[in-house]
Amino acid sequence: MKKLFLLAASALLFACSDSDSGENTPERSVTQDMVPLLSAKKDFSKDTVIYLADSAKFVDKLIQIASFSDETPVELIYTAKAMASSIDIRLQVQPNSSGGSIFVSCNPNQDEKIVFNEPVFPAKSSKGFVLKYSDSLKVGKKIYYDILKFDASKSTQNLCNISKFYYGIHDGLVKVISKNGIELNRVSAKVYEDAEKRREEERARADSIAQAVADSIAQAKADSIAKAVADSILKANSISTEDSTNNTDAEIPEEIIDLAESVADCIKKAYSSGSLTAIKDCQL
Amino acid sequence: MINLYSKILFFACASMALLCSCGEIEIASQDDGFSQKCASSPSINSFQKNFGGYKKGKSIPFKHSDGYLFSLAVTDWDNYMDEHSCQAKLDILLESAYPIYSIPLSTTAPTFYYDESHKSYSGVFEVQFGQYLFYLDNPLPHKQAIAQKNLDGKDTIFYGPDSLYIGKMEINGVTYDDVLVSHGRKYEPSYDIHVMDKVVLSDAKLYYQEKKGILKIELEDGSHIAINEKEK
Repeated sequence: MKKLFLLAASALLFACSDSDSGENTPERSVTQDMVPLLSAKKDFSKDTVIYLADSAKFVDKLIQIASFSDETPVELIYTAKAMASSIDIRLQVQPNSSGGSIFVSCNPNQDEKIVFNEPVFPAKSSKGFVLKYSDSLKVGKKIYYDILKFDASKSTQNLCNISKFYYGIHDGLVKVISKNGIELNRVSAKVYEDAEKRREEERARADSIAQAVADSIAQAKADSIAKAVADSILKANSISTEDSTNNTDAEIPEEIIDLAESVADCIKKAYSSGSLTAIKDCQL
Repeated sequence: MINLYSKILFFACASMALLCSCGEIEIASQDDGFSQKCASSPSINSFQKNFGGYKKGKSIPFKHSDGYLFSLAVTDWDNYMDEHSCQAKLDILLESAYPIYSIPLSTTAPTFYYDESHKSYSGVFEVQFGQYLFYLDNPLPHKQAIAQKNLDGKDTIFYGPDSLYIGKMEINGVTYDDVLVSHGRKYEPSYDIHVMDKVVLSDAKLYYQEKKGILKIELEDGSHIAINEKEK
C-alpha cells in the first residue's frame, strides 16, 4: 500500500514538473501526409492575384496569400478571397503536440472551423468533410500537381458556401465547385481582362442604343409638336380667309405656308437641342 | 465600492437623459443597492426592422450582368441583444448557390440620440459583398432634406457618410422611388504580416431603398447584379 502511494505521488510530481518547467514539452509535429503541404514553402507560386472562371462568362479575381512561418516545423496559413463573389477560403496547416492538424474555413460568415486532427489522406472530419490527396488535376488545358481536394458535399452540416475546392500544394486554389455543381476553374489574367473589355463594350453599346432611342423619341415629339403648330397656323389662316371672303375655294397664300414651315423647323431644332427658351423664341 | 459605482452610473444616466438615452441598459433599484442589465427587448427602429422586407425564407429574383438569373435567399434574420455591448443588433444573410454569394447585412440600434425622432433617423446597415464594404444610411433624413429644399429652395441636403439620395431609378423594367446610392469601400489585404490590412475608397456602388432593400450592386470590373422583379 505504501509502495502504491509512493508511486502515485512520484507520478503526480513528474506530471507537475513536466508542465511547469517546459523543458520536456512534447515536440510539435505533423503527420507524414502533411509534410508536402509545408515543404511547398520552397516553391510556392508567387502569384498573389489569381482568377477563376466558369464555362460561360463569369470570371472573378481573388487575392491569395500563403504565409509560411519561419519556425520548425513550418506552419502554413493560406487564404483566398474573391473580389466579386463570396468565395473565401482559409487553410491552416498547423504542427502541434498531437501530430498536427489542418483547419479549413470556407464561408466568410461562419466562424466555426472544420478540423482534421492527425490527418492521413483521405481524412474525414467528425461532420463528414473529406480531405483527399491526388497527384495531379487537369484544369482547362493546364495540369496542376499535388492536389488537396476538400469535399463538403457529403457532410452532415455543410458550413461552407461551396461544395468542393481543389488546392494545389504549389499553386494555391485551382478549382471551386458551387453547391449546385457549377465549376470555376483557374484561368489566366487575360480571361479576366477580356471579360472587362467585353463588359465595357456591352455597356457602350447599351448606352448608344439608349441614346438612339432617346433621340428618336425626342425627334418624334418635335415632329408632332411642329406638325401641330403648322396645322394650327394653317387652320387659323384658313378660318380668317373663309370669314373675310366666305369663299370655300380660297387658296392659302404661299407666305403663310412658308411661315408655318419655318416655325415648325425652328421648334424641331430647339426641341432637339433641349432648349425651352429656344422654343419660346420661335415666334411668328 | 460597487454600490458607489452603481449610484454614480445611475445619477449620470438620469442627468444625461435630458440630452440622450442611456442605450439599452436598464437600471433597477434593489434592496442591496442598484444593479444594471441589458434591456430585455432588442429594439431597433422601423428602417432597420423593415429594410428590404427581408424575412427568413424569402427569395428575391436577381440578374447578373453576365446574364445569370438567380435568387438571393434570406437564410438568416436575427434581431438580438448583444450581451457584451448591451446593444440591440440585427443580422441578415442573403445567399445564392451560384453565383456564389453570401451577403451579410448588419446593423446596431442607435446608442446615442437626442430624442426619439433623432433615434428613428439613425441606424446604418453595413453590407459586405466580396471584398467590398457598403454603409447604408437611413433614407429618412435624406428625404426630409430634399423636401425642405423643394419647399424653401435652401440647399440643406443631408450628406451621409457614404449615401446619396437619387430619387427614381428604373431597374430591369421596374421603377423604384426614393432610391439612395452608397459608394463602396474596398478591403485590401496586406501581404506583409507586419502591415495592417487596409480599407480604401472604391468605385463600387450599391443602390437601395427601404422597401426592397438592395436593388443593384455595381462593381469596379464592370459587372453588376440587379433586382429582377419582372421575371417573377
